[in-house]
Amino acid sequence: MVLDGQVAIVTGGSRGIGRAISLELAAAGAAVVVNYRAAEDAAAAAVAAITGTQRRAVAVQADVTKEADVKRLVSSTLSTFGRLDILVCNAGITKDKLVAAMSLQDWESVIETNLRGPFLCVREVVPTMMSARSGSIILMSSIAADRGGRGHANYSAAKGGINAMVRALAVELAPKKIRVNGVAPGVIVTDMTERIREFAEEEILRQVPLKRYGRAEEVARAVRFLASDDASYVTGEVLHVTGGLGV
Amino acid sequence: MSELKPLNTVVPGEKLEMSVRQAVARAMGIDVNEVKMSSSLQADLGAESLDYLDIAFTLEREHKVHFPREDLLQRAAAHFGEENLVKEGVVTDLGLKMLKQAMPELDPAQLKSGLRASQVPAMFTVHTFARVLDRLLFAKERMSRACPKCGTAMQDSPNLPELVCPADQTSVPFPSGDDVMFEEMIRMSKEEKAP
Repeated sequence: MVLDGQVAIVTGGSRGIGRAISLELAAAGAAVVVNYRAAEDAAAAAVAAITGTQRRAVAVQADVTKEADVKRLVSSTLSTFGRLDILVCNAGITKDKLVAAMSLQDWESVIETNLRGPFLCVREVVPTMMSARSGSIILMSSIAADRGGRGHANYSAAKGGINAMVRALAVELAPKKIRVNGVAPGVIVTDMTERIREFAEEEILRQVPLKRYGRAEEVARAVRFLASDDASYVTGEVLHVTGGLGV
Repeated sequence: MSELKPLNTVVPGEKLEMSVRQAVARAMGIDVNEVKMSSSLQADLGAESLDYLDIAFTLEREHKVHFPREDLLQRAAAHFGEENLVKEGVVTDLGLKMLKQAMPELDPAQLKSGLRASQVPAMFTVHTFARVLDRLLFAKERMSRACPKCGTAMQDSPNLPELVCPADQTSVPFPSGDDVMFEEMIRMSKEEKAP
């Protein structure tokens, strides 16, 4: 297995794309820390799905916007598994509003979870990865970083920030053999995209060359590739998993 | 013979020096014999800021300590008032005095008028790291090992820089390097009657 003996943290790893990533990394051999903020039952279910296949996983509650929580997330990973090889910053939220109706809180909460969260997580794992001279960090971006769209200036700004952060971190951490990449999903079938799919199905599908929505598992496979040594010469890239949307 | 007379009683001078030289050698990808205690990290070994962190992280893992992360002058400026310590990027006389006292690791001959704050990291030698490590080990040694909740003698955590109570799992982190340095600066400033 490509990730045998490795340990991964997946933030927001209990539901949607995050759950698929947790399961995919576990299936490839990694022990997985399934992070969740509030979805305790979903996290327990994801862990059960992994341990049922004789792989190792634990659920750790932590709010990625809080410094103390992130420290605890990483320290409990190290005390449980003794190492840390892969970080997937997947936890994300949307608060879609037209800009004129967007509250400051709508703006800040999206930036906090989707941009500050990855910063805090990356900062916390770097000492361990640097000492190991190895590590793969994957930040979840979005097609929304590249393509304009109504009602998500906050989300687009955060994800655009992620793409810039991927490139900056890739250069900064490369001397210590830590790779940093992004994965930018298009419209994937999850709870989070239910509303947008409901309201604009025809418009969306007209623009997707593959003429269908993506599945969380298809995004998870891209993450697994970047996490593994199969991508040993790939850093600073944002891999689009969009069915061709935006090409 | 070691050049260092350590304050801590757990790690002897020669072992401490070797550990730092090895961490530096690893960070720079060179042989440990190329690393002298007097080597300047930047001028002699070509270290960049990321390498400083790398050295600190290696030593943190090995010795279970917290190296300072913050810029000491910046933190001190927030306390004493920025203008009093650094003026237009240049360390003031008071700032120099504070640095000399809080960081005896630095070469006092280089702490002279006109020094720019940005030049301070360039003054670090391998010896500087060894002295800082020793001070952190000393601070760790002095901390109370009684559990704050139940009074049981706490033990070193196997993976993390903290003490763990075997009775109720309470954990207490080892002193942060930022706090160790800063507290010393504050203590000195009181003796000096700084603002």
